[in-house]
Amino acid sequence: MRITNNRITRNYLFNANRNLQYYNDSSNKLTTGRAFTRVSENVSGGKKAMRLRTQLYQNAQFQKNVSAANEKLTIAEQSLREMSDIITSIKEQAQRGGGVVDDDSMDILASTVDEFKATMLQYANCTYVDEYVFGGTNAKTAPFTADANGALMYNGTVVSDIVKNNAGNFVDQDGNAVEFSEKIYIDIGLGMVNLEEGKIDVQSAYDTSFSGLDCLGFGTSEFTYKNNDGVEVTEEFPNNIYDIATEISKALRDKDTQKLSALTDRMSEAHNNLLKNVADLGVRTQYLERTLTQLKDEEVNIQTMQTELEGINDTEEIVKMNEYKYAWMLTLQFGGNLLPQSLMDFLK
Amino acid sequence: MRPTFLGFEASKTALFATQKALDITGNNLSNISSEGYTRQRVDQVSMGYYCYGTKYNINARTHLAGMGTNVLGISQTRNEQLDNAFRTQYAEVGDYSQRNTMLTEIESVLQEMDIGTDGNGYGLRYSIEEMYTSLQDLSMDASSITDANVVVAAFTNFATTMRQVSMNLEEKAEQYKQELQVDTQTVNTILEKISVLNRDIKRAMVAGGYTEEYGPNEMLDERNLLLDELSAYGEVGVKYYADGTADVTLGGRLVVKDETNEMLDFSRNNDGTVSVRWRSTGENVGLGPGIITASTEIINGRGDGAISANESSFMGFRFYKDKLDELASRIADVCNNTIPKEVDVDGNVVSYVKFFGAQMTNDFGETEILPDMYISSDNIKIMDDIKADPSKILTNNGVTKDNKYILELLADLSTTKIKFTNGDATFEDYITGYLTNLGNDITYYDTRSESAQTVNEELLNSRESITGVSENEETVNMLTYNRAYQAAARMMTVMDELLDVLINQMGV
Repeated sequence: MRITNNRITRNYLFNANRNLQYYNDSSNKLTTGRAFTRVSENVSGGKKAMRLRTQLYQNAQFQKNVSAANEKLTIAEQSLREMSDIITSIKEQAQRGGGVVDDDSMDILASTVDEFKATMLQYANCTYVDEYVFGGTNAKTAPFTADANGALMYNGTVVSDIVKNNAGNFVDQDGNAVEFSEKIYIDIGLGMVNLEEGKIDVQSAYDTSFSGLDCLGFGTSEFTYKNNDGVEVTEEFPNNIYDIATEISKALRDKDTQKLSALTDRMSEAHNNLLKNVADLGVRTQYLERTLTQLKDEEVNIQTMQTELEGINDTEEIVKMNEYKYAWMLTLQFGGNLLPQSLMDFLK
Repeated sequence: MRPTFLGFEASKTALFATQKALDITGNNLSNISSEGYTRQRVDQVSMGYYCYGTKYNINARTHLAGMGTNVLGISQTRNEQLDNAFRTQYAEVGDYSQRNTMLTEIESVLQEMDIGTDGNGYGLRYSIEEMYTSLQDLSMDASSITDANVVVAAFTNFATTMRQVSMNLEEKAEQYKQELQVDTQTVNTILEKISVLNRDIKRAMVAGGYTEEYGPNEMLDERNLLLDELSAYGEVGVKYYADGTADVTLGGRLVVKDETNEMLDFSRNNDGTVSVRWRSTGENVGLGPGIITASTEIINGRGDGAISANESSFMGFRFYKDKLDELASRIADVCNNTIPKEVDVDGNVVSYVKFFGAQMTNDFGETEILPDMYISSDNIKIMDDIKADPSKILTNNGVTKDNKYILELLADLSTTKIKFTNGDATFEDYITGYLTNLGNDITYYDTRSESAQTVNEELLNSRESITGVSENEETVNMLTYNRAYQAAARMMTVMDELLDVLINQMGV
């Protein structure tokens, strides 16, 4: 095959350009620290990388959500413990009133109970950030208030009138739903999906709402006791601790010791209910802490996978780049002798 | 009987011949780097004088032998097969490179992998991520106006990004349409030049006494160069005639015949596609693999969604614009029909909060944003009332912390498989889908382009070894002809001495 000058130069340029391209690609990878910057450079890798990115930011958000929920429930637990202490104090006052005391002391006991009652109300209206912890979905107003007669109201409905219907929702005597008593769910990474009809699948989200009604008690129930006259009476006692405290205060003032002891029993029942909820909360916060740890581990895993996929191995890449640089230097050096001497140089 | 002065004639022809040969050698050397130059050779043949058919027996066998040399002509060697093979290959190189370039530019517009300067990237996926995180924060406190502000900002950003990407895609398409127009003009110029050359070659053949073997070399070289250039644009076929003209076919259709040539017309159609047509018949061209075909197919490419005859089934600009449109439309659909605005007494939703609308310009030149019109990627915009007062997205003006609608929207944006025309996928998977598509196409054409170029280089090398100038060869020739010239001159001197003896010294 005839070798012509043009062929030599063109081949040289073609190969030199290729060497330079390899060098350029390698140095790009090193300066950006990434194995590829476009999907077309590595299609399957790019697809995975995008999925991993999504998982990563979702994971970060879940951690945020879980921490916030955990804090809210911790505050709820603390409030309930405070309320539990108050209930113990109220019971003490009631027991003292069971012994023989004069009118003035009874008054003092009653006033003490009233003060405790007010403090209890404060705890029931405790807030986390700007949210009323026991308020259900009520965003603006304090959930627990006292009506004109001093009865406890929850979001505008008298608590003693509230019952739970078959579906487990809180309704008043007419069957209307109590306001702001819906549950609040959040997404903590349980794979939250919508059901077919577009509603959220509650199994896939986390219920962070906390029913103040369940803790404080709601509705009324019958209680039978022997009154001062020795007659067995059955009365409707309120189930919630606030109204019970009101009754205790009244009984102290009325010096109705039998009713007082009956009410104290009632209070103990309500106390147990409250403590049960505290234990419940403990379980929930534990679950959230476990979830947080899990999410953190997942985060580390995803980040490792991401680095393996999108990152470069520095040592390897530097070695490669040096190879290409060396090849390029060779190309340049021998390019100087590109067109070898021809016959022309030897003519006399 | 030998003619007396025959010797002089023979040597004289030698002198002329070697001078011409040296001229040609010099020509080769000076054109060593001229593009498209084919090395020329002097064809010398021993002159013979053979007579037959006269009534006189001249006995030319011995008397008229030794007439010297004759330069038949200056020939150039080309291999037609190699030329054809090169042109076919060059068309493929042109085709694949063009596709590769255009698709790579589409990828730059739809860029999602780059992480930008803050590590977050700036594509559509990032704006969906912002929508997601802002909604999550709002779901933790569904009455917060601060969070509502952030949500509206994220949604606005999404709409802006969408419009931006769509506009960039449109601009790229426009840029390539203009390039295609320039390309058709280039083809037209080439065709015209070829036909002019045909005319010139034909005339030169007649006037200059050229033949099929010894043609006007420079003009032939020029025509070949033009044909090489043309082959990048489509499938070129050549047929040579004895009178020096060449018929050129492009995509199987005769475009240059003798002195006439066909022209291409570029036109934009009403539906946004482009057409390249033959000027004489108005039909669409079918040029085979080449730059024009590649360009047209990608500009008009709508993939499976091709509806009109003008659109091609390649996945090109219009295909990706469709994908963006569908994405915008579905997201707007989901966002506009999840969070209720008015609920009647039974709890049924009367109307929804509309986040996005289509920005339309009415007859008076005013723009309004309408949520019920078809929303596409170039007109999606956040509704004015939401932008002005983000608290409007809160249920009941933020009096309740009930967040179930926000959770629904969140689930739709992240986990629900939305119905798209080509199957169900989450929004992010949809974006990944079309990007993977594009990535695969680019990888394919990149590889083909590289391999085509390598084969092309090989063919060029082969062609070069036949048509190129080799310095060594020319130097050897130079030495040879120099020697021959000296020898002829010496011969002349000897002849002169002979005649001198004959004329001046005999019988004196």
